[in-house]
Amino acid sequence: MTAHVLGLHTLIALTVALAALFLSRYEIPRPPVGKFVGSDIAVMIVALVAMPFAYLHIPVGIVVTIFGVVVFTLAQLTLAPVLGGRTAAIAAAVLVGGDVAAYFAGWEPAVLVLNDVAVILLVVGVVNLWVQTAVTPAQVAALAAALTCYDTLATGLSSLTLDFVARLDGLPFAPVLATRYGADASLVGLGDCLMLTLWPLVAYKRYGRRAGWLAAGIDAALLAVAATAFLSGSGAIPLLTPLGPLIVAQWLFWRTRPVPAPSRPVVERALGEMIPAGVWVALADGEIVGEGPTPGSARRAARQSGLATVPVVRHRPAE
Amino acid sequence: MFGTAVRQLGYAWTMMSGRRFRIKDVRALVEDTRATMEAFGSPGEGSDDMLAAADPEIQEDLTKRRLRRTIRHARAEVPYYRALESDDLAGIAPTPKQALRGMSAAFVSELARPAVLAHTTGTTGSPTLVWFSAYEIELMSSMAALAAMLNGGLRSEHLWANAISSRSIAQIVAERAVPMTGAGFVHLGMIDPRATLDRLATPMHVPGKQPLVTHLNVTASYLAALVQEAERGGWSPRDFGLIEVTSGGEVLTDALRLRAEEALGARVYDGYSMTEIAPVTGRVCNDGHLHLPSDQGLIEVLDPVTMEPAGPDALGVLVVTPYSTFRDTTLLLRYVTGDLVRTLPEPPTCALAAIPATSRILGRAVDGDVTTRDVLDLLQAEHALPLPTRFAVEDGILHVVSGKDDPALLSRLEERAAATKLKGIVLVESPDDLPRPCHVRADLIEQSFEHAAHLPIGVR
Repeated sequence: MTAHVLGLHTLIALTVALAALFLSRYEIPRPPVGKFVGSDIAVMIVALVAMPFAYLHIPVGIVVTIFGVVVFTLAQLTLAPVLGGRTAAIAAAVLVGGDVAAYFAGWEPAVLVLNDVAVILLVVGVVNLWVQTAVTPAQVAALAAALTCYDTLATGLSSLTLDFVARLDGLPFAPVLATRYGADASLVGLGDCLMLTLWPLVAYKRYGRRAGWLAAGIDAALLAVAATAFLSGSGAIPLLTPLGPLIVAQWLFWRTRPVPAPSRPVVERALGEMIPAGVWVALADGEIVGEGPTPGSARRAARQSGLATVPVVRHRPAE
Repeated sequence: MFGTAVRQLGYAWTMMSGRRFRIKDVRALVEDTRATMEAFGSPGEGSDDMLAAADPEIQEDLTKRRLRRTIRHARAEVPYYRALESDDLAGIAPTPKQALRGMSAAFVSELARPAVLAHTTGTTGSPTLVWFSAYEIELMSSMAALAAMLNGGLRSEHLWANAISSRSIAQIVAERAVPMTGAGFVHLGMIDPRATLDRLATPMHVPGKQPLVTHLNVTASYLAALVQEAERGGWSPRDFGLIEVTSGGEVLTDALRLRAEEALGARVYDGYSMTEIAPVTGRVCNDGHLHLPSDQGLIEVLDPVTMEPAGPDALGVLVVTPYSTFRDTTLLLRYVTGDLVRTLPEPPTCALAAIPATSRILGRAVDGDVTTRDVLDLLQAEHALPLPTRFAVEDGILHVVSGKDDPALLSRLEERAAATKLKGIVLVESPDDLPRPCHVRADLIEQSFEHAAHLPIGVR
């Protein structure tokens, strides 16, 4: 059991690493106009919350078909910048077709591996799509807060998640990252995977390297605690219940860090300079580099004196 | 992104259906585009298709529907067109400029809510007055902002200066459209060219903006005045931060364009617009065609004498019907702009080939088939002549303001003019010596306190 849990955590770490690598090297095609905004988060939350309820009441064949279409689309989207559009479409089709074929052939290990590949591609693609369409830390925090409430209710206080996972157990495109299905399953949900991957990348992009690594470290610590609890027999753990507040806390911490106001040192420095009265002067690096009767002529004089940059111009009335 | 996608669908639907736009949605789309540019620096894939012309067959069908709707509105609501008997375009006589100039109220829809009055410059003697509603102004501004961001590369760090008539629709729209893109709008006005060059060279250093003006919008004659003053005043292109200069409203020759690019250090673009036919505008491609998109108005090129459609490679006058989707106040059917063009001998193969095209604007007929552009091409290649170029043709003789008697210059001009139908050339010292007045838009100089005496425009 320990081996499966460790393997699962390795897969999660691999997903985060692949998403970060993808972000540093590739661009996901984005729409001509539009960036991630608050209403997108609202739509996402509604969809994520409604989906399990709906899927519990839809024939399993239809659910698998819907997931298959989603996996094909997102796998193609993710692989396109790496392999090119046509090859990516072929690769995505092979993945989807292989998953279905393995299921009908009864090759459970193959279904497990292909499902995991699909989930990793999906997470890498979706996280990069969000990060590259400028999702903000506040939006991720809002999503995390909403999912915390949902996960606490759906996993911690009711059997909704377990029922949903049990229904899709061992089927193609099951939205879980797993190292084992069945009674002793070792798995983590797609939503957990998304949030574990999304926040470190958003924190890195917005607040810098330290924030990114801190987020990844908190992810790792949380997973270690969850694994310990799971191995000690506490059953399914609603991972988002602690992860959500941790993301919100990090966001609150980083957003209150003093951000240096954009400054215009050339203007501030020019204000402090002593300049002759009655003429316009051009100032650069604390020195007068040109003079003239008008601001433009002072700038021209500065250029004629050899200044390659754009100086500040200032005038002091005659006494 | 979901909201943006919905708004884009709504925008496309309105364009296709020919109904009125929801201004709130168009403004929101502009805001989405601005936010996209600020976040990513450029639009995503497929942005070229957003404002591009549709498939020719679809375009033809749309044109018919928009035109039918426009004619129906005009017949029902506009006094001047009340007597029209059919909705058939061919049965509608072209509307001359004089009719609008003589009584602009007769062209205003009974259902209109006039909000803004724009004036043409009136270089022919008296300006034409054109009323616009708040809907029209908001729509045109929003669409101009979208085009500036998606086609023009205007970004929030840029500073756009207008030095055109404050009364034109182009000014009214630009001062609303440019801030919508996030860029800064600089009200320059048509002031003394010495003051304008000084402004263009003045560092501003305001947050989020480049230190110097990056975009300049001028008329061709005022551009000529700036070029002359820049050359005379010892200005270097390195004194300015200009990226683009847009010239419109008058004939821009290649000679002046190249000279301006050298003097100001920026790419100069030629465009076409007119207060009466807004929002129909045209742009000149690298191959020298004037492309006039047909989705905002019907563009016809008619023989100036017979008013029948001009054949290939023939001289014609631009006749425009702006669609009622965009215009609900001053409605014009088959408005004769008076601007001559030449139809292309063959369909264009340039980058903008999907958009209908003609030659660049040739101006007016100054003597038989000789057009303003013919004369300006002849004269502006000669650097010894003062800018802006002033001339008049009488009895086939071209009179040119040269500022001084210069036999060598005259000889060169006569040599070049041999290929034209002009009978001769006379150099005169000042505009007062011309046989008839030669007004250019650069004459609309505004007063300011910066220079005690006005700079004479167009003389040495």
